[in-house]
Amino acid sequence: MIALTETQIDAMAPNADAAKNGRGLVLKNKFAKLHTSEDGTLLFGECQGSGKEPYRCSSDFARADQPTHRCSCPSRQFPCKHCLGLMYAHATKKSFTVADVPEDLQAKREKLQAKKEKPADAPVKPKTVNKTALTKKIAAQLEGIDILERLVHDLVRVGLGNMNAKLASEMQTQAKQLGNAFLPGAQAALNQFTNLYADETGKFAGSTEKVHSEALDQLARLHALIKQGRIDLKNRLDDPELAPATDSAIAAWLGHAWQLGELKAAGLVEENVELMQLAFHTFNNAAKQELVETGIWLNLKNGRIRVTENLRPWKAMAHIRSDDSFFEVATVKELCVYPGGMNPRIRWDAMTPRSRRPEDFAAIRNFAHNDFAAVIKDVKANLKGPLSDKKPVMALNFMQIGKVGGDFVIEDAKGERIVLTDAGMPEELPSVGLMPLLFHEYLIGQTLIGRFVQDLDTRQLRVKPLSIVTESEVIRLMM
Amino acid sequence: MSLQLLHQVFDETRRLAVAGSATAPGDFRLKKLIEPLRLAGAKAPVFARLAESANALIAADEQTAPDALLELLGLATAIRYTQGETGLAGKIEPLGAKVPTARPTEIPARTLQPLLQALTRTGGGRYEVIAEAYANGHFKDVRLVRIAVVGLDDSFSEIADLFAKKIIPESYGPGIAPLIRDAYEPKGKGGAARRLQLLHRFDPTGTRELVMQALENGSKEVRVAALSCLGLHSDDVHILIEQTSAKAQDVRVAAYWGLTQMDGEEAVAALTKVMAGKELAHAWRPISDSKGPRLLKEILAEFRKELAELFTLKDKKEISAKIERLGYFLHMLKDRTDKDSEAMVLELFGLREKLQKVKGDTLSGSDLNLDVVRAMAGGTKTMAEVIAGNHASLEADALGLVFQAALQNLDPHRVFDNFSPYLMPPGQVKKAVQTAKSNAIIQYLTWSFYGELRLDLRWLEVAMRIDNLGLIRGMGSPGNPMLIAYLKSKAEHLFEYNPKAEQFRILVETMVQLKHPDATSYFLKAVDAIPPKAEYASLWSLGNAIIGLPKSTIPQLESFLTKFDEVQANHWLTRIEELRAKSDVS
Repeated sequence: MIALTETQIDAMAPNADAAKNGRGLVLKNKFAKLHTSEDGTLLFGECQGSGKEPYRCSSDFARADQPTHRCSCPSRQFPCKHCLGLMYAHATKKSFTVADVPEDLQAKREKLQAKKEKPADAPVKPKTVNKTALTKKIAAQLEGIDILERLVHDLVRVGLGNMNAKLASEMQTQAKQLGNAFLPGAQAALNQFTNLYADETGKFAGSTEKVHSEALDQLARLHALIKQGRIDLKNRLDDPELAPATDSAIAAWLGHAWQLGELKAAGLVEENVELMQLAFHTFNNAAKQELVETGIWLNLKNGRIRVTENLRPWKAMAHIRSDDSFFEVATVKELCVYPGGMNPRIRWDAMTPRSRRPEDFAAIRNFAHNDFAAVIKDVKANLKGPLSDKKPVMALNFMQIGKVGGDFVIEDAKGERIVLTDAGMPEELPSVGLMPLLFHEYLIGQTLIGRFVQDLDTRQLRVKPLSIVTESEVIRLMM
Repeated sequence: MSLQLLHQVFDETRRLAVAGSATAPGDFRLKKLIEPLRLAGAKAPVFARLAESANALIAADEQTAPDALLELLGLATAIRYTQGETGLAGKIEPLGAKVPTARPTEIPARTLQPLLQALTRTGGGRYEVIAEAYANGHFKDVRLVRIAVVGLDDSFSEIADLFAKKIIPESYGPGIAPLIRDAYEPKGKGGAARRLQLLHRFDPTGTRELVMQALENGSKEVRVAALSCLGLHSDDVHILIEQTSAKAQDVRVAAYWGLTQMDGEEAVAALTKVMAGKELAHAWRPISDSKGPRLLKEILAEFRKELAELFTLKDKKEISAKIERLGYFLHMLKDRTDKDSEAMVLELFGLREKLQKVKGDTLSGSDLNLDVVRAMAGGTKTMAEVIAGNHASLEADALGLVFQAALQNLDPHRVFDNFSPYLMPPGQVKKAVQTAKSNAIIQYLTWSFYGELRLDLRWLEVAMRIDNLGLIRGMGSPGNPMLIAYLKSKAEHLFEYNPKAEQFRILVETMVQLKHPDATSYFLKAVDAIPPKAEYASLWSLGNAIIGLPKSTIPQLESFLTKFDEVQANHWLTRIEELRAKSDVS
């Protein structure tokens, strides 16, 4: 028997509207038939749509951690509102009758079952690489790197002080060539640089003293990208069968879209993992023209902080499932971890939720760092890498969060302090000012999930609060 | 590690990157640093690398300089990252609230995001999103505190006011004051004014200085807000009096509001002066709000004085101007129940014949008379009795108001006896006059259904006699044999005449509402007869009546769905679902 709650169905919905519409179908009594299979693992039914024939929808829980939804409607959303409605009907205790599974559905289930039962050690047919095509692609990428180098050198030649709206706009136009050269990552990095010279409306505003520090930092990054990217691509040109590098994030910087299969093949997998989400936020990445939904998770078995990123290009936003906050523990059999960084990106195929327990919170607090000095050392070591994540997230056990003069600080047991800040992270909502509003017990002897950031002008290394973990709750400060 | 040297290298590299790499080869300022870097390199190899990189840049030509500069920049930036400073000396003050301003919740981001969008974008529909979130208690979540504060500056003033008057005071309380104070700018517009008022509301004494500064240096909006914060201090009256001569009208009006909350000699004297002058048009509203006896005395004295002046005027323009002013005085007495105010209004009513003869340019005595009736209709019971006793002498406009006052204040039988004749067919009265008066009675009779007024039962008989379904629907009750017979005969007649007609639909809805024994059968007949496309709105309206039908009708109702389009079917399905879910005990 399937145990489904409305919250779980909400989380499965591709967006809030789909969930609302799915609920609406149940309320409007649009389901002419509501059935379940004898073993209770399959829900199926018929829902009246706009057409003459009702839509036949089903939600198959044969794989409880990875349900399969099928529907005869033409919607590109997945699961569609009919499957969601079917599940809401089940969750709201509508009457489902046991019935024989229709033949076509049974055939599909058997096919899926056969796939599932395939032995893990069964010989995997090696993926054939079209060497000619790959060589051509890498050659185009190398040409793209040359273009990027030429653009960056031209800019350095004229100087940042002479950067003007026309030059920034021209650079952005030429950055499109990088996309054509299969270097979307490099294109985004260049766009991020030119966007420094644009105002909030996207209009180029020219050079200002304020952006020089950030611009220099990004120039250093672009230079490293050119150098490391060229080496990586030349290696792969020499040996087309060479897999993308997994010891650094250079592949992602060049714009390689990792497939789960590739990550698994490269051994970038952690097994039987339990994750708790500590923060979630959404922002528009103008450089990549996409909405980024970021979840910050802690692996309850090893304490490592990982991130999920749901990337929704503006152009295809409506067709891509939106991610959401998650208030349970995700149990994942196979967790794929992207290469590089202190907080590498993670993804999974299948996940089973379970309720949070007191020991989960205890685990987070045990794994969090007590000694700020040691954390700062690790963070600095990470920051010096030109292509590293410049805003790593860490869990910090603090004695207190307080105020010194006009600044808010976090202090560890040894009296080491780090100043809290919102500066340098315009994509996230400010959170420091919320501290005085919180219950005072939240600010003594708890765990802060914070994002480190270095002010490039003052060289101050500071922390932005994302959430506070107590013995029984996660106080989220972001959304 | 010589940090100063490192920062010097970075600064020089930055200078060259800003100026352009063409200036880098042979740059003497960078060159000067190479030797110290080499010396430092003996102890820390990283300086030797910097020296080498700087040397390569100095030795570069125009072609190779960009790469050399970027190389040096990359190295200097990486080292600089390792020198990030932390810590902050000084006494640490504890933070946090004993009663938290906001709480953590488990509201998913997907629910909160539309709210964020509503406040960061423009366009319609935003108010509803915010109001719904407020109704659902979402603003209590700590993540929304900042957004709520930003909402005070919203370009749509209804949204900003919702935050200022409801969401922030009710969801957070005084703990939010520092956040509100952070973005307060005395030269700001509406947002700054709302901030000041909220800060004052949370801490009236603590914000005194801020209020004074706002009066001194604030924008017009902020000064108006600051004036509304005065009244607690003994000096406030002088500040307010001073502001009654401000250039900006809004500021002057705010000063009047402030003064009306005081009944001291100085405040009353200042307001009396205002009443006697041109500012009356702007001051009457604040003065109406005042309940002080001293000011009332002055209002009545000035009113009488100006009324006497009216009858001495000859010029039509001057008459109109005076009537306008008298209207303001009347408004100032409108909601007062004291004997002196009542006597003044009754005195004015007594002068109605004399006033009727006063003819002005744009306003005449008759306009003032109507205003008097309006004031009396909403006034004391004595006033209501007086105007009800004089109903026959009033025009249709005034009659409606008098009828409303009578319904609220007088015995239902007396009201029926006095006013029901207006619904009867005209006798010797002109038809147009009779119709206007009858419409006025019907209109106020219909409005009375929304209140809890007692009506004489004979009104229903009159309604049946004049075939007014609206009145029947409002006054009828289930089980009345006369009503059952009336509706049945009416239904038979209309069904035969034209079952598609709107009148028949209204009759059916009335029958459903009054639980007529034949309601269901006529409902089904009506739906059957109405063509779904041509009479879309009628079917929609009938759909709304489904809830009044018995549950046994559900299968028949569902059978109609196939002939409707998607939207109509959805509407009916929702209503059928409501009927299905309806408790059997009604």
